[in-house]
Amino acid sequence: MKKSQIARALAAGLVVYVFLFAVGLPSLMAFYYGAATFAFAALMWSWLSATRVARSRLFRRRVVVAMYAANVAATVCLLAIPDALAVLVVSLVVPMVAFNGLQRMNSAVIANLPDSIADERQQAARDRAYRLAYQIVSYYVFAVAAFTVFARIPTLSNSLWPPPRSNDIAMYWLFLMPILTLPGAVLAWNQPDDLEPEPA
Amino acid sequence: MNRNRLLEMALADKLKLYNRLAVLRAERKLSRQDLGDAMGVNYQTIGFLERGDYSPSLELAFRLSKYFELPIETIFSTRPFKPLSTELYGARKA
Repeated sequence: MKKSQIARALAAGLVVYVFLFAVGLPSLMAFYYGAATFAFAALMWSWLSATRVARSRLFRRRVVVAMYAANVAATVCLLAIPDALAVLVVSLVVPMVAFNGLQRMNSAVIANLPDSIADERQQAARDRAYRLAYQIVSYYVFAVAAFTVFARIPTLSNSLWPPPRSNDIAMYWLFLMPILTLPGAVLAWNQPDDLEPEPA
Repeated sequence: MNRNRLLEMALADKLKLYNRLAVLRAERKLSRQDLGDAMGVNYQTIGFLERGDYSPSLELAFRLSKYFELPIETIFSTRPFKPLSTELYGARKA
């Protein structure tokens, strides 16, 4: 993502902030909407600038960082703005734009190729990526679950989630137990019979 | 290189495999796409092989060997290849 594109995204956010403040919205609320606009614009530009000819790893890494940074910014804004339409729009648009951005990079497309299309190198790269992604998601879910149980998210305390504390531990294990055991369970399910030990 | 060391390197995924694919492909005036189509792999995979960024499966190595009608050890090696001219004329001098 180029500096000029970041500048344009910032400008878009600033315009929204100034406009909303001018029409009478509280300053903090206008700021949140401005930040959400920036996040969305940055995400859109990272998507549009990621083309199928993006062969440079450095460029791809910049796009990925921009995507996740924008995603975090959008999430923070969503938590701050209890607005149903904003929640709906951002939660639909952000994953869609991020997914499509990755689809525009040859190297990332491999992640979703079925075995019938991917060759052996692509299958190996894809499987390595899923292994690493699984480990990252495991830590991520572990951290989020622990946070939910032990800290709770204040902005969500009046909603249905998180559930009462008595159910928290159950939910924690409902997610955590499969995550900890699933790869081993899949292997146990799929591997052929073990050989008998050879006589000494 | 002794066998145990080779095994250790292979297990540590550090065994670098050298190949002559680029030379063989150039000799036969094949593009990466041509060779990729013949082998049933993506043209990028041929490039990765030539660059040494990817080591082929035994199956793909055998397919390449059959395609070029050369022994596998002529195409792949765990040691860097000498230039073909050096191998040919060096051998004649000796």
